[in-house]
Parts: sequence; C-alpha cells; structure tokens
Amino acid sequence: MAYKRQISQLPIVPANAKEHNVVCHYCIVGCGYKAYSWDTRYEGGTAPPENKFGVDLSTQQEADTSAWYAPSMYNVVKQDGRDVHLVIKPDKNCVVNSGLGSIRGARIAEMSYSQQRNTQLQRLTDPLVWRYGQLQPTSWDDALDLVARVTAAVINEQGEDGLFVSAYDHGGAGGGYENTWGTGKLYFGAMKVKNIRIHNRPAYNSEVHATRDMGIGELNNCYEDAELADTIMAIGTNALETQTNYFLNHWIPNLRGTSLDKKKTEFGSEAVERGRVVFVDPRRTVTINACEAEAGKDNVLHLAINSGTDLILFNALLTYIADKGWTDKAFINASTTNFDKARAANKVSIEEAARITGLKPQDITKAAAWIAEPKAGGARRRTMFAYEKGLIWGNDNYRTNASLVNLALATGNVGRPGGGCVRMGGHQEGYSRPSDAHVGRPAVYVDKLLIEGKGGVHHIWGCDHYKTTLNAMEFKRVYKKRTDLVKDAMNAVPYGDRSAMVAAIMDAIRKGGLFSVDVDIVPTKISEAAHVILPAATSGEMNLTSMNGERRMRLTERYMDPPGQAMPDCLIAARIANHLERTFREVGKKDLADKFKGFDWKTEEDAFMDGYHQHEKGGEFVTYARLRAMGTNGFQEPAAGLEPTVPSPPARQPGKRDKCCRDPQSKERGARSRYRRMSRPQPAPRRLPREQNELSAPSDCMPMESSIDRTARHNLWKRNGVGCRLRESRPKRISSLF
Amino acid sequence: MNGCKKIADLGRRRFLSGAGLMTAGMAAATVLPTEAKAAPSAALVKYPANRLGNIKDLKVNEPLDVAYPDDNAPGVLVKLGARVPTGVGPEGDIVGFTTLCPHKGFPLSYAAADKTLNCPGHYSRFDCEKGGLQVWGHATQNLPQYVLTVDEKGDIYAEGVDELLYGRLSNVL
Repeated sequence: MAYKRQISQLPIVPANAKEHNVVCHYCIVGCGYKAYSWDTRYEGGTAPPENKFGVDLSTQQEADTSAWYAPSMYNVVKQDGRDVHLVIKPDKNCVVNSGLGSIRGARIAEMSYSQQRNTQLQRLTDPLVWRYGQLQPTSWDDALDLVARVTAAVINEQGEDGLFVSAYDHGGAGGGYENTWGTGKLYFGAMKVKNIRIHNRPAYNSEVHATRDMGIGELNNCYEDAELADTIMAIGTNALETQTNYFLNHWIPNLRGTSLDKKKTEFGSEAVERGRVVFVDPRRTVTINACEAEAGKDNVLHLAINSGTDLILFNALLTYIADKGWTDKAFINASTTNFDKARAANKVSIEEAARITGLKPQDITKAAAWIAEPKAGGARRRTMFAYEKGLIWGNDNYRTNASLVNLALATGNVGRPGGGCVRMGGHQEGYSRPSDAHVGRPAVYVDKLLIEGKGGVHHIWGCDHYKTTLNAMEFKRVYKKRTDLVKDAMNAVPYGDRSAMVAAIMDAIRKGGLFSVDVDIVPTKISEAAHVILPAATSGEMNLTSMNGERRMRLTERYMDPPGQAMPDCLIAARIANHLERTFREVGKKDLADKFKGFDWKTEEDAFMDGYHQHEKGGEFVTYARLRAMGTNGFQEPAAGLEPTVPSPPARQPGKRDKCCRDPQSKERGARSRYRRMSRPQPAPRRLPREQNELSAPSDCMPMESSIDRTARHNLWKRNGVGCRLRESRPKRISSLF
Repeated sequence: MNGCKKIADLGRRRFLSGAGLMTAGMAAATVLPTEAKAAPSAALVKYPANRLGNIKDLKVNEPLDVAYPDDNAPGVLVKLGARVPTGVGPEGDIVGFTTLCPHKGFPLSYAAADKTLNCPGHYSRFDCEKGGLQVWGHATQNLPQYVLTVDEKGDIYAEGVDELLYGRLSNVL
C-alpha cells in the first residue's frame, strides 16, 4: 500500500524568514528553488502580513500557487549551530522551471541532514581512520596527517604516478566550480597526477569526444531554443523523466503550440507552426507518450530503431537531405570543412538504412523532411538535436556522435535560434581545473592499472568504483585484497606511533598493498575498503556554483550547517595540500613543499576566487555578491563583461532570458551597472585549413569539422545578447554530464 | 486525554518526525517578547465527520464527486468493485480521495479502465486500489486518501485525510 506521512499541517513560513537562493543539485536542468529558514520556536500566520507569501493562507490556494509546499519540502536543520525550520520550494521566478518542482528537487529539504527528524542520518560526520581493526572517528588533523605522510612516502618512492586519484568533474552536489578547482589545483597544479579517473568512467576522458573534436561544444543552445524549434529531434533521451522540468517548461509549450507568439516575435515573417518531434529510441517512453498527448500523433514520429543502429540512420538522413538539396550551403561553406568528403564517405541509401535499422523507408524520409525540408516561403527549417545516454553510452559512440553532429552542421543548426546539437545531460557542470594536458590521450585506464597492482595510494572523491567500473567483481576482489594487506599491517602497530604506522603501511604497499582515502558525504561501497574516510559537505551546506545544461551559472547559497565536522571538498583538498607541504618540509624537501603553497583558503569563496574568478573565461566579472544578486536566474556563461544599466530598459516578456541584473558592487561604487548576458553574434568564421582525413567505409562516419570555435573560441554566437559557448576542438577541459 | 493517547501511540520517533507537530502548538509569529498568557493549541487538526453520500449513490467504477473537509476541497468516492485494503462498506471496496494533484494542484480525472486518477497538467497517475499510490508522476507524496466509515443506514462519512492536501498548509482551514 501507499506510504502516507500522516501529516495534516505544516509550519507557516513567517514574513521575516531568511531567504536563500537554491539551485537543485540533482540533475543538469538546475531548477531554481528558494530556501526559507527561521527559528524553531515560532511560525508565521495565515493573515497576509504574517507569512512570507503575503497571501491569505486560511483559504484554499489555486493550482500552481507559490504559496504552498509539500511535506517533502520541509525539515528542521541546523543553521549556525541553531535549530531552524527549513522550507525549500520551487522558485516561480526562475526561467528554467517557472515554479515547477520535480520528484528530485521537491525533496531537497527532506533529503537534508536532520537530527530532529531523522533524515539522512547516514551522513558522515567525522573523519574516520582505521585504528585497532576498525574505522574510528578522529580529528581532521589526525586523519590528514596520516593521509599526507602516506601520500608523501608513496610519492617519494614511486613518484606522482604512485598516487591514483578518482574525482568527480561535474557541477551540482558532489562537485561545482569550488570543488573541482580544489581537487584540480591539488592534483593538476601542485602535482601533475596522470593516473586519474572521473566519477562514472575508469579514465579521465570525455563522453562526447567526437563533437568536441569537430569543434562543437555539447551545450551549445538555450532551453528557450526548444520553444523556438520547428522540429526537435530527440535521440536516446527520455526527457520527461530525466530532465523533467526542462521538458515540461520548454518542450511542451512548443508541442502545444503555446510558444507560437514567441516564435513570431523572434522570427518575424518566417513561417512558424506548432513544433514537431522525432524520437530515435528502441523503446516507447513516457516522453513519447506525453508528446503525442500534447502535439497529436501526427506531429510525433517515433523511429524505434534496432538498438545500436543510430549511426547508419544519421548517415542515411544526411545522404537523403543532401540529395534533396536541403542542406544549408552558406553555413557549410562559412563554418565547416570537408562536407563533400563526408557526404561521399558516409553515403547510405534509405533502403539499406531501413534494412539495418528495422525502420520503414518512408519513416526515414519523413524524418528527413521534418528535419530539413524548407518551410513555406523557403525558410530553413529550425531543428534542435538533443541526445543523451542512448547515444553516448552506446557502442561505437564516437562515430555515432560525429554522424549526428554532421547532420546538425549540414542543416545549419548549430548556434542559431531554434537549433542546437546538444546533450540533454546528467549532472550540472562545474569544471574549473588547471590543464590536464599531461594526462594525454588516450587517457590511462586507471581501474585496470589498479587491478594490475599499480599505485600505492588512492584518493577517492565522490566516486564509487565498486558500482561504476567495468569488470567490477574482479576490481572489487583485487581492491579488497590490496587494501586488506594494508589494514592487516596497520593492525600490528600501536596507532599512536605515527612513524611506525607509516613504515608498516609502506611495507605493505611494497608487497602490493594499497592505501585508500575516501572523501564523500555518506559511506559508500568502496569506502568499505578505505583506511581513511573524510566527511564532505554538500550543496546548501556550503556555497556552491555550477552551470546547467544551457550554461546558466548560479550560486546555491549556504542555508544550513554541514553535519558534524564535515567540510566542503575544496577546503578538504586545501587542508591535504597544507599537510603535504608541512610533511615535505619536515623531511627537508623544500622544492616539493613549495609546490603546495597557495592553499590558504578559509572558505569556499576563497577557492572560487582563486579558481573560477581567476582562471575561467569571463570569471573576472563573476563574484559571489553578483551571483547572489542575480538569484536563481544567474547568467549564461561565459560572462562577457559588466554593462552599464540602461536607465529604462525596454519592456521584456516575463522570463525573457536577456533580462538583466544590477551589479551590487558597482552600485556601491555609485556606478550602476549590470551583467551583459552574452555577446552579439560573431562574424562568420573563416575557414581554416585542416588535415586530410582518410575516407572511410560507408558504414563508418566521417566527421566534418566545424571551424566555428577556431575563430570564435570561447566567444558566443547568437543574437539578442544570448549565444552559445563553443569550445576548442581539442578539448582542454574534460567535463562530464553524468 | 484522547489526544495524549494518540501522541503516545505514535512513539517518540514518529512524534518528532511529524512536521506538523513541531510547531502546531505555537501561536502566530511573535518576534518581540510580550507578556501574554500561553495559549494552548491542539497538536493535530480536528477533522469534521462529514457525510459524503450513501452507498446507494455509488455505481461500480464510477466516481462520485464530493468535497472534504470543506467545500473548497474537491474529491471523489469510488466503489471499486473489488475489496481493497483501505476500502469500506459491505464489500470493502469503497474509497475516497482528493482530486487535487499533490504536484501542482491540477484537477485529477478518473480512468475507469485501470482505476487510476490522472493529472492533465503533468501526467501524474495515482492508483485508487493501492491507497493512492503514485504510479508515475512528479508529486512527492502519494494521493491524500479519506478515512471513511459507513453507518448502518449506508451513509458514508469522511473523518480524516492521511496526507497534506494541495493548496493548504493545514488540511482544515
């Protein structure tokens, strides 16, 4: 039977409750929420002046009201050491979700650490060390001293290649610009660690190398483009369930036809209709069902292909569209190279594609028409290509990814309103690290090396190999054996004798042992093997910045205390660096010790200013104070500068994304200013010479190469002060979206 | 005394877990200290016992529109045609639910084919045979169900609700 909370009333948020900006840390969409907190001893009242919403709460509220919250949006937590009521509810003014809450974000409060209400009590509260045969709580200094001494001893014997690292690289919870910078500065700045992997894959590489190699960063449009597209082509994505509010708030209006006014405003006399959608998915998903309910079956085309045959479908579509003359020749000439070669190499007939994909030929040609057949009046059809795990986690994903990007480039759908060739994404992004060029390509298969007995010490940040590696049982067997060697050695030494302890650990490492340090917010599967476990803070327990799937950067403010002694990851990384510096200095290795300078951060804001502010494109314009003032709408990266505030800005539609925000710092100086969201469209990129590619067999994919970002680099490409960020074709940054 | 017993029965943990209980006894916000007599208040809302209909009014698998605990709280009674754990009446098959979706408050409609209540807003679905279990959807709670009794005349009374209703921070306004 259904679980019921038996809650019939909730405390009312009083008018004087504190208000903090919150961005949901669960998925890439990054919906805006507000956290309200106030002292536990009282609540607000039903009369309008007595509650935060200024409405009469003694009456039934309407659908979609912002003056209601579910029991899952409520908790009692600690804030600056005091117990407070906490309500975290969707923010109606956030353009991402417009007040919608998902089953993830609408539970942020309930999923917070509360000793009063017994939620999330599995959270780690203290550093734990292996002492006398079990993990026992200890102080930060004790735990970090052990980590530093063992790490330094391993580096001393094996060099930095003896240090293995597993670290998330994303935004949202267990990530964000502060924390990726903290770990990045430690392992890529102070050191040049090569044996490093990412949270969900056993190496330090991209999930979408192909699109980057072609010059197309994978987050190259805005959520609003889904409202403007003539056709959305969705490949291997089930957006209603996995990017819920992006789908509900931006795809559905297009499929219902309620974004037509927006299209007319944007495109003038160009022919516009309600949107259509093409799904490429072996399964019939709830997303397809919802699209049919909204747009009618005539406007939804489901290509239920045989699993793993996407590549040949895309090549057939490219062939057919090119044969029909539906390509965007001006765009191809201005922004790509090798179109003719790609077209010849990737030539596939509709019949052959139908045979292999299991689709009807007429459905493939129908999809081609929906994607690229010119509209009434001859205007180019605007198609947004959205893909996710069904494509990127398939076999041969490099070439499949490339073949899809070919299709987007050939039809001129990159960097234009209503277009885009984008990942739907997993986590938010929040990558800020020194160069990883020393890792090289292909990146080291870290988990295989661990199985082979390589490495002496392993630092794990928010990763769980036991759950997320290939050959997992063998990995677990070997990892347990290697870490048990060290545990047994530690059991033979009095814990207080630090030098004897380190000597015993090193002796075990020489015999194939591995010393394991796990940083996380909860005990994990791999932490069963760890010798030291360090408790981390998560989103809301620290100030944390990330960007969502349309590069919208926001600050989630700290609205509650972390549990026990838990600290933000960036500060844990800094304290590890401090202890390594001290350890190396003690043994007279001054040169090594000096590399660990520059980690004197006291707060996560220090890490932000050291990392994102100093190192990221446009970071010099971005501060916590400005982000706070910009609320849950933030700005779309990269920041292009600060603009003087227009005395009376032209009227904007609600939710219009080029809405501006005052810069509080400049205001303090008396000079009013605001953020400029994005730069104007860049001039048409010039063609650049590129290497000749060998022709490949028809069933392969030969990628075109876009030169867009070669000239525009990290600049932007769009109208209306909004644009796309296009990364360098050779990925400087590895960032994942899972 | 009745109220105290109920609280004791809940046990300490559940008492502390009950959000509504935390401050229910507190008067409206008073930030400045003022001398006033402490005002007692109930820890639970007091539900009315309202007659929603008679079993004669119900046809199998056809929802009957009702309202509870007041006229602004729409709901349905459904005679499912087969006994369910929370059902009342001679056949143990009568259940009652709010029809405001606990996600965003849109009105649910009954689908006789699979005995679910369905939301036109964002496609959430709730199973009437499983106590309002959310089959699929965006709400973070299952569908609030009425506590029903049937008297000897066949009159059906609602005496409580087991989850917070959408659009009100107290089920009884």
